[in-house]
Amino acid sequence: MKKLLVVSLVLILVFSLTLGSVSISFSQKKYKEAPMLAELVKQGKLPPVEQRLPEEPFVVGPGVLVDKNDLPNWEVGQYGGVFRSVCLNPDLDWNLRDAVMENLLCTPAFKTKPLMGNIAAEFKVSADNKIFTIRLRKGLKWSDGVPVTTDDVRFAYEDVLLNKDITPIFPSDYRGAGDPGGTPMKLKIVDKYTFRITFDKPYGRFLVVLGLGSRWATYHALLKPSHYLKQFHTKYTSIEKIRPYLKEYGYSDQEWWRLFLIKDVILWDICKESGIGRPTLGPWVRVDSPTNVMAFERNPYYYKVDTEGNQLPYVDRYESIIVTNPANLPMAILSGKVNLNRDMIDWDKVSLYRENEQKIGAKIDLNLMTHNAPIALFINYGNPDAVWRKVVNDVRFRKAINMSIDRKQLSDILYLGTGKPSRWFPSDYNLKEANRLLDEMGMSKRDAEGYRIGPDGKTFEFPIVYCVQGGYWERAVELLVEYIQKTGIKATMKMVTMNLMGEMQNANQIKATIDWLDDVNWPYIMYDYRPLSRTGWGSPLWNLYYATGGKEGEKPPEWIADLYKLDADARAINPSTQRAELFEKKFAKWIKENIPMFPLIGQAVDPMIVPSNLGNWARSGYASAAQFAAEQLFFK
Amino acid sequence: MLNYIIRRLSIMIPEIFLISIIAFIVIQLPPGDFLTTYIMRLQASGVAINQTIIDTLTRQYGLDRPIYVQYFMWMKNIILYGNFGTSFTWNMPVTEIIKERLPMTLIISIASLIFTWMVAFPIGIYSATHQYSPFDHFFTLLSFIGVSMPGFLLALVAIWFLYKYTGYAIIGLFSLEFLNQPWSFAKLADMLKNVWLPIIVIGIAGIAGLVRVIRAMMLDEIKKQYVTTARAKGLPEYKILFKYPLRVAVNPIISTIGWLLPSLVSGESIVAIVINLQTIGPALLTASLAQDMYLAGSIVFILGTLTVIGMFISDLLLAWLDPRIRYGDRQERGS
Repeated sequence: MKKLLVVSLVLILVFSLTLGSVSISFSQKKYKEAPMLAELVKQGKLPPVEQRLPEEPFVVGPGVLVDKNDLPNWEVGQYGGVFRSVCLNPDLDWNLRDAVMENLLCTPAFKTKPLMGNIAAEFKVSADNKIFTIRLRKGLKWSDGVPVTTDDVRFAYEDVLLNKDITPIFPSDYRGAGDPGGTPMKLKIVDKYTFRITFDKPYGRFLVVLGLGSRWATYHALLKPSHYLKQFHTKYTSIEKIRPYLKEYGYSDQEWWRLFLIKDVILWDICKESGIGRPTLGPWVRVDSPTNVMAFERNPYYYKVDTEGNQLPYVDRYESIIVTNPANLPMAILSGKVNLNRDMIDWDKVSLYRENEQKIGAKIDLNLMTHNAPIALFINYGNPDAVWRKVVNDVRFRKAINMSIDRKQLSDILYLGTGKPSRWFPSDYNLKEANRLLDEMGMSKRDAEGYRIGPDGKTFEFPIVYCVQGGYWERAVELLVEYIQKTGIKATMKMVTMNLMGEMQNANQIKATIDWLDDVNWPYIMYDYRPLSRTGWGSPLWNLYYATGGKEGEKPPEWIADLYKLDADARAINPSTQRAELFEKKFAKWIKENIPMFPLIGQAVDPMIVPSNLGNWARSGYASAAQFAAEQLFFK
Repeated sequence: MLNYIIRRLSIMIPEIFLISIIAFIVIQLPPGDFLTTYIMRLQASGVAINQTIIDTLTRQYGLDRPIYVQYFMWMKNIILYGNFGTSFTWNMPVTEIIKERLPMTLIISIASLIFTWMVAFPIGIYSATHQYSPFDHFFTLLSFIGVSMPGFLLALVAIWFLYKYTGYAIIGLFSLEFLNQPWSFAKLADMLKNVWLPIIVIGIAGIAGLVRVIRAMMLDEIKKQYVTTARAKGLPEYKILFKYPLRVAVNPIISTIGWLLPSLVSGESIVAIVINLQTIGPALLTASLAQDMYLAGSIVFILGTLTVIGMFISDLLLAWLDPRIRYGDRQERGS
């Protein structure tokens, strides 16, 4: 206890010292702002920029948001312009969401180092990875001008995370060691700007939750605009005053928390209309717009400036047109209504768009890569079928499947040859060896059609059930079926709707499928590879087993239990340390030995539409990372 | 007549009640629910989903309650407060979503309806009075093409032609620069630049069918003896046509008013989807795909109710317009 006290005292001392020096160095500087905001200041509708920025703004310069390797010619930009995207969902455009996301901590372009404060001015992790001390930027303000203080943190913790109505189950991300059965975190408010989170067990991976290496962590769970949300919370506002809102949504008095959850717009809801008026910390805020547009306008209180003191973002607006039908996408793009978009450019349309760049008024960028292996083939090792289990849990079978995939051809057909092999998975193509392994397993007998016979004396079937989430998925499965059939395994394919897919997964009826795979670009995060964590593989019963500490569900086979164990150990350590690299090696070994899944390729080019005069645009690296740093982009 | 109206009205209440149940059940028929799609979509966009998030969402959307409870809550709010619930996808009250889309929907539907009638009536009458003339053959051919060609195909082809030869791309009702502007003359002019295509495309299918109906009905009528008598009496030709046979010829059109009302609200959804109009049809489609049950259920329910009301109106109109129609009194039914 004493030790803790000393540590915290030293911390406070360090904080206050740095704070003093920073505020001195910036107080002489004059900040500049966008013309549209200067106009509002002149009209008296906004305070001057010096009062809107925190005492120590986040300074964006070369290599800060994107690595110098990927963006060697960072320059100071100019104000103005509108980014326009297009999307198919009426309520979410990933492009916009990624552009307005902010985390407590950050690293350049999703790398692991150097880890720095983002919304937080500073942070400190105790040596045992149990205590996280975070200091917010003094003078930081919500997008409506109200100061951000630790009271917002207290509110988020006490009144939301600990409120049984709003949060019936305390999220595992905020429990000791990130374990679903672990003890919930403890929060201590040190002063107006400093707070401390304590776990009972080492939890270095908590840095990932705070923002490192993960775009989607965001600040929302720990930092909420309490002044805005209190008006929907029964602890602060009487139910009589909340009732009119409840009526509008058709909720009863007891359901006030449903209204609260709608008003507390969290990360994936950020594009919805309920986001209008909710204070945020992002570079652009959701504004009112016609039904077929989602529009964001610059946040006058955004806390980042460039090296010359210009408040970011440079671009005034970011909007997205909603189209109902994928067939409308080419028309929307060709008519010049889109100038910044990732994800909506199908590979088979790239040449069409390239030819029409003049008409589109933007260019097709083919320099940046996807941040993950686009898709992978997954096997459910826990399907109730005993024969299936016996066969697929034999590592020779998995090796054979992996060797039957012709990745060079896959890349040529699906990604115009831009695919790179995975760093983690063996990807040699060897049909002969695949056949030998299968023979060795005792599956050498064939049926009348030439397909291999399983241990039960019947033809062994390998059914790939999938739903289409990307333009080329069907094609990919066709190729996979063709490859696997070459080994004599009777592979089949069946397309289902997203709904049915989810249902079948819950009922443990899937045997094999294809799904997105977040490749090992953040290698210490084995979590993503755990069955059903982010990728669609494994039995739901294992998850239950894991979540209930072995009381319910079903124990996974030994080799998968190893992964759970590895993941649990890795969660304890700080991902930006040497020890993490050790775990990375262990994980790589586990992957090589077991081949649990089959990525089609490692990475591919991520085709994007970008304005032809876009400044500060990366020339290499991840497409999503370049876009995540949208606040530094500008029109030349 | 009053008796008849009361009787018709009293049948409508159980009808509407049944429609509400069916609407709610139909939306839930496909496997899974809103969350299964929603969670897969979130996962696809990179969000790590764990059981905590799934449980919280299930509770937030009220999907943990049994279906009959969900239905009764929905009905209670509609009857007591006129509140159709909250759309899962939009996080907005359903009434607001419909309200936002209704004006544009009505403008397009009514305009295409007027367009249909303005074109179909003259052609139908002309074809009937000049049977087997070259123009009649020409219009017959055209209308057969119109009947057999799906509207969405026509829309796609029209969009492509327009883009290919003028470089003008129709995508939605407004150009980019007007999307965020308040209403003005310039915006109206901009809308007129785009709105004619959906009106014509939606109209054409209707025109073709209507021309055939009017032509057939008129042909039936003008061969009747009262027309010959009128002509013998020396009545002017226009009076002969418009006073008597035409009135009979509109009967089949009046009797389909029941379908007209719902089609005003969600007419030609497929065309609207192809041209990317923000009308109610596409909203229904998106909501059904996402199993956004309050939005989809409410639209289906409203459309069903409108059909019932439309049928009621068309029955009344027919009874008033055509004295030959009886009210189906008891003695007759007894026999």
